Amino acid sequence: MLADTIGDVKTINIARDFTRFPAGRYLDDGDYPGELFRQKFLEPILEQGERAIIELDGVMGYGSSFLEEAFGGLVRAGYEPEKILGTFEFRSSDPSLILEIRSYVEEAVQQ
Amino acid sequence: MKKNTESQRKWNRIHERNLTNRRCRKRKRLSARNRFPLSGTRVIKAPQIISLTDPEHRRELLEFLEQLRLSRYKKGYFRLDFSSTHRIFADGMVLFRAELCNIINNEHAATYRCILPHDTKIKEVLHQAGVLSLLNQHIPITPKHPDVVHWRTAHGIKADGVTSGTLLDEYEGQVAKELLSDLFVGVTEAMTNVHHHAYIPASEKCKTRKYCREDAENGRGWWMFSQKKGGFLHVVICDLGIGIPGSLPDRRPRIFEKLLSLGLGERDSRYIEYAVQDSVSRTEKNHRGKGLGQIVRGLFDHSADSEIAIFSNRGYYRERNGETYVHDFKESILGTVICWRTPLAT
Repeated sequence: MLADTIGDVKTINIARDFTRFPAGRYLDDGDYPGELFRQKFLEPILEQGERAIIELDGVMGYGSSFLEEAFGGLVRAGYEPEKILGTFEFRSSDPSLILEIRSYVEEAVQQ
Repeated sequence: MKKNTESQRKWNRIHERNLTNRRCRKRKRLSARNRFPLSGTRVIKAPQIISLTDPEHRRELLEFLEQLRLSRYKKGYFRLDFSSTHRIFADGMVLFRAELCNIINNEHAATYRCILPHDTKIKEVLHQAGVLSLLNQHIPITPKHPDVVHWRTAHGIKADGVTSGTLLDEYEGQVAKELLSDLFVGVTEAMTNVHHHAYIPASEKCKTRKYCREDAENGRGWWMFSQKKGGFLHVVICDLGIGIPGSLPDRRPRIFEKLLSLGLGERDSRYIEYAVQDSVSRTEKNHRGKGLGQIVRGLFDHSADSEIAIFSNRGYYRERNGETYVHDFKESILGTVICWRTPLAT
């Protein structure tokens, strides 16, 4: 499931470990929605108090529904934004993706 | 009794064999006629041009689809007559295929066949789009026209990233990578929207409710085409739901109130325009949505030559070269069709 661990830091390559074609928000939306990614990859990391690098490249594209539910959904699941942003380090050739994810985490707080 | 000569015996054998063959052919003809009798078959004439953009062609197409829907629960045989059809556009084709698929794959009393088009290219299009297969016309056709060879179709119910991504992957190298990514995002967000918002009863507050599909909550699914033509990649996706006007009043009450205050409550095109501009969501929760805005605007981040058009019920919205155009037709398509057009790499 989580392929790489360097020291205490795991690396999650979404294209390799989850899918190249993420789509949808909830479990009922399809085979690779944001909620599934959050439950399968992100929440276990937070529960175990570990850290992880999220590699975003290699995926065909990220819809806002997928990203918002995967990362903004962590706030709704009860995790503090500071803990979320402190646990996960994002790597992408498109910096706007990282900004978008951060904004979803911060916006989720404001509701 | 005189015995037959060798030549007479030979002639008798040939005669008998011919007689047997004739009887066999006659039995087959009768059998085929019984399966689909020509007498008592009703004909539904397909339009000459299958398109949604031109008002006259749109009216003819929608009349054809209305006849198709009405035939659904009638016992009997129906032939869809394509003999006069000579042009097909992706926006009209995807809607037709969706309606036909919706009937054939669900409960229906009628039996359908077709009268093939005279135009070879149209025959290839109908074959490539899966229409002939739906109508049980299993004719061996190998598409040869360059416009037709690259038609691709897909159908699903949920937000299917694998199907749409695999389809778009075929254009890798022919379309800029960023544009393919934008298309994938737009298409999958559209699928997610369909799954969440399309197949529910239309809002009671919608002023154009009579133009929404009545039994939308019994429907499911999206239909998708892609085509390379004229230096562009065209991708279209269709659903047979309540349309953007049918869901906006409940999804975004403040925007709906604004539309009413401006006297625009009767214009489906304005529902689309405001929905795009405000990236609405079905509930008031801010964490949902951004879908429609991303569907429309994403493509323009990487290509000024792209175009997007949305047909929803009577409304039409188009964005091209930084300009938007809206229009309201007289008839409703009873659903939503989204069309993306992006340039092929030179």
